[in-house]
Amino acid sequence: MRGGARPAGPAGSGWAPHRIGGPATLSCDVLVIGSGAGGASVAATLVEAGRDVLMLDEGAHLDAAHAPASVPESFRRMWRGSGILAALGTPPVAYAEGRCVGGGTEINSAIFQRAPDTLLDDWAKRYRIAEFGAAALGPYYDRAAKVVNATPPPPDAGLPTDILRRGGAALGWKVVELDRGTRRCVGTNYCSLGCPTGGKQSMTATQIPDALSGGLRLIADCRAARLRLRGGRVVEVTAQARGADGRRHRVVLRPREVFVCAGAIHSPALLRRSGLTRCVGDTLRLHPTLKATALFDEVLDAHDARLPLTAISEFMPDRRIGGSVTQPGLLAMSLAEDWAERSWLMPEWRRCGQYYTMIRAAGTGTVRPLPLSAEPLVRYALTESDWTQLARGATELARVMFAAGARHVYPSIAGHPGWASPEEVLAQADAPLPRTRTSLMTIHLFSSLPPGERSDGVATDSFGRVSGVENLRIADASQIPEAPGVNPQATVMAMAYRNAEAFLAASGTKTRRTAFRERSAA
Amino acid sequence: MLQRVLRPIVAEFQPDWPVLSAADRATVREASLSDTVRAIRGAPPHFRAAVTLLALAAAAAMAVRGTAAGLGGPFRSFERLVRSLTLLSVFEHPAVKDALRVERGPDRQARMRALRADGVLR
Ligand SMILES: Cc1cc2nc3c(=O)[nH]c(=O)nc-3n(C[C@H](O)[C@H](O)[C@H](O)COP(=O)(O)OP(=O)(O)OC[C@H]3O[C@@H](n4cnc5c(N)ncnc54)[C@H](O)[C@@H]3O)c2cc1C
Repeated sequence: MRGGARPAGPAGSGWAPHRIGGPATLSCDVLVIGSGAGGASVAATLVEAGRDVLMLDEGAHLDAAHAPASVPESFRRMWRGSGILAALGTPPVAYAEGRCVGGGTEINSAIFQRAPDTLLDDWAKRYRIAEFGAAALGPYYDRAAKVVNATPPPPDAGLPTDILRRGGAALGWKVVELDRGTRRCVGTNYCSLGCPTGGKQSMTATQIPDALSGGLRLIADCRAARLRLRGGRVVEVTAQARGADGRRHRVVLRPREVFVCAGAIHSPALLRRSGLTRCVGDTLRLHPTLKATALFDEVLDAHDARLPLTAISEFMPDRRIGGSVTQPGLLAMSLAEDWAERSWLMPEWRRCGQYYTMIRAAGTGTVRPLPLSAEPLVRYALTESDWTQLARGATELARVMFAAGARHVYPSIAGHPGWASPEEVLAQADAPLPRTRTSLMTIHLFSSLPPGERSDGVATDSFGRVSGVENLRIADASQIPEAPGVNPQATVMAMAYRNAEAFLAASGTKTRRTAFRERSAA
Repeated sequence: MLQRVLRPIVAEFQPDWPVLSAADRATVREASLSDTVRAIRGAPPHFRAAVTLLALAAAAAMAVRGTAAGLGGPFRSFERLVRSLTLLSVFEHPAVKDALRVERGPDRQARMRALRADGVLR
């Protein structure tokens, strides 16, 4: 690599990103900013087509052998903002993102779901997205499923999974099994800390090492600060990298083409910081999620089981009920909401599980860079119909918990006395939630740079090319037109493959849709 | 500065359960203070600034009222954040994991790596 970058030395996975040795100027054919689900999919596709690709990530690389062994350590090393992020509004919505090589795929649960066909077809029409929709995206979803080895959960996934099966069956509600991207997973249940075994098929276990062996250059700890534009083209990207000496160095990148894949928050922030504002970061969407802690008679030992791998799909895509990882520390965090009233549950922790209702909200938010800060200001507002959905979701969640045998259910609403019986739930069914005391969170963010050929409300063309900039493309969650109501990684990957192939076709490298190849089994 | 201001607040937010020896209690308290401060330092600058200001005000209120809990208004989010970071750290501490008979993180990682290497799937 030209300009002072050199290999960083041995790491457990047999590969390591490059580290900058000092101030550097680097050139490349294609620069990919961000190495998460979107960036890694673009890099893999372009490297396979023989292009010279350089990929940056602001975060560090931690391989399976060096995965954090505790939640606080993981928050510090792999989660953006130490896990303390929120979209401001009433109420604020806490959100989470990965900040490491592999992005969100390193700390996620690897649940693999395709967006419903009807939604994909509807988006194609309403956003006027060319060559989009269920049929067009199908082969790209297939490729994503192969890459991450999406497979159904084992039949004995554990009690936390059975709870949802049981509750769904008792109420006659539909339950789906959730596929996950894993290979020889031993069920450590540390997915959100960074998988310590390599069983989770995150980007650092799949596409990144494959692309590196095909010639990809990867620089970790390197944050793209600004794109410099001239004559409708990106001519330079300035970045700050932490060098092998631990110091910060300025890096100037001179790419021919740029893919921004920094995620739904940081892609629009980078574009806005660079003076690109048309429909940029104005339509952020997310899945507002309300959690609940349920106490059962039986010992669940959820900390030692796999996270719940079923979901109640009866109300999908509007609302989904699922389960979260439950460990004593994470349970205590949830109870912190109302510690004085709920701390009595802590000694009962082995009989507790954490479940949630997640809605496909209509609300939107904005992303705006702040002066002198790498982190933008994020705002989000729920609509009246979102509040109605959440109230219904809370009722359904409590009902299914009782149907599965819960004794007490506490929603994440400060001051809520909790429910002690299904009759209490029904007596208050769908009651409006107190807006300032309801704690919402999300791990799914998207739609801040939607694609399409409409004259309004889209930031890029149908294949992610930013309006008015010849050599700038987007390929990450910001491109998903609206909330999909399902886990988004599969859709991020599918859309990224499609955008990368469209770019290859446009630049004469290869015809679109020819790159669908099986990844040789590792 | 943040560490000094948060010290009494984090001490107040220590849970009563599980019961630990005095020495373990002190170690856990110090570790949770350090984890909480490090987490807040890693937060985006606009959050960090707000949390620092609220921490100063909460510490002042605590000096008068004897507690940083239940202050209301903007302090509700502050209390929730500091309490949840404190509790997370406490319940992730090896001494507390031992008391709860939960496998320590590094031990679980090593055991699971060995299982996978042996081809044992759970
Ligand atoms: C805790 C958690 C659990 C989840 N569980 C699931 C799940 O089970 N299934 C599912 O489908 N989805 C899940 N998701 C969501 C999923 O991980 C994301 O939707 C997906 O990773 C988004 O891909 P992306 O490429 O848009 O962004 P990311 O994967 O977030 O990647 C963006 C990358 O860009 C880097 N970056 C940002 N700014 C810059 C910059 N200026 N310069 C250089 N690099 C930069 C970041 O460090 C990051 O690595 C989960 C998310 C979280 C946080």
